[in-house]
Amino acid sequence: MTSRVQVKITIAKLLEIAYSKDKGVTTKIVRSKGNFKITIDKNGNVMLYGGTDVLTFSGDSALKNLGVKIKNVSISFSKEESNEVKYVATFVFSGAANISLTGAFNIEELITSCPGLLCKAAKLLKERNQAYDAELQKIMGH
Amino acid sequence: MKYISLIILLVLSSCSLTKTDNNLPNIFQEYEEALLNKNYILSVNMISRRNQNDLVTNSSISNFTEHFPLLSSVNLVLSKKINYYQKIENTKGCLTITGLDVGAEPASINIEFVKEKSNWNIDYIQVMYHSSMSELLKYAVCPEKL
Repeated sequence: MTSRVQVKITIAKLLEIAYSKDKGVTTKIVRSKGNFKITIDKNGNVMLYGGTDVLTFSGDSALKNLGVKIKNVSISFSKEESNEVKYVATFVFSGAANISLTGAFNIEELITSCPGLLCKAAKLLKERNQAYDAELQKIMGH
Repeated sequence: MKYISLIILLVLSSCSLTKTDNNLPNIFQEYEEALLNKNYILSVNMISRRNQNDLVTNSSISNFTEHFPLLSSVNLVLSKKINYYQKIENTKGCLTITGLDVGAEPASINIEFVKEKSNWNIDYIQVMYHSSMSELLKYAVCPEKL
């Protein structure tokens, strides 16, 4: 069974990949006043967008963490006070099932402060370890 | 071979004792026990014709867990069940089970059943991981099929 923790880590990793792909656009999208969104199609193509900015990339490396084939994903992020970002995520899987999840995290802690976690992660993208996953897990509310 | 599999399923579909009742929690409990006992023939027998056809057409009964990873592991979502709610409208039934997941955090499962030849079969499952106990559902909700 795909657990809550697996889903949360996947969301964090998607943001991390976006950051490593284009730090400037990602930071602009997640720090802008409005809300932002991630959608993923069945081929693992990710679209991160907010306002007029759009970033596309492959989410395969994050999605493999789920261990199941997805049909599509939708994650809506909404800004709250004091850097808190709330999200509602729906992961639709092949095989008559979906998982939805609500949660919140601190955007400054996760992505915008450099050297923050994702800033480091972007540089160490290929050197993953359990301690790193545990740190992501903690930031995402576990 | 696929036709033989389908025929076996059709024959087995009359074997379940509780599937014809309108008590969806009991039917789901039987499904959970089948999964727990790795009785996948019975498990497959309890999913909808649509899903059975999908399985035998695109995979095989022996690949049930791979083809339906969530449907075949839904018994592992809740470590503690709090409430069951059900609603039935004609040939569609929905069961919501609330409880705590393995991390002792609130979660709900919404299951859609379809009545096929007087049996209630599982057609779709939605797992909702909530961020607070106040989000736990208090009535039956049909899963949003996306």
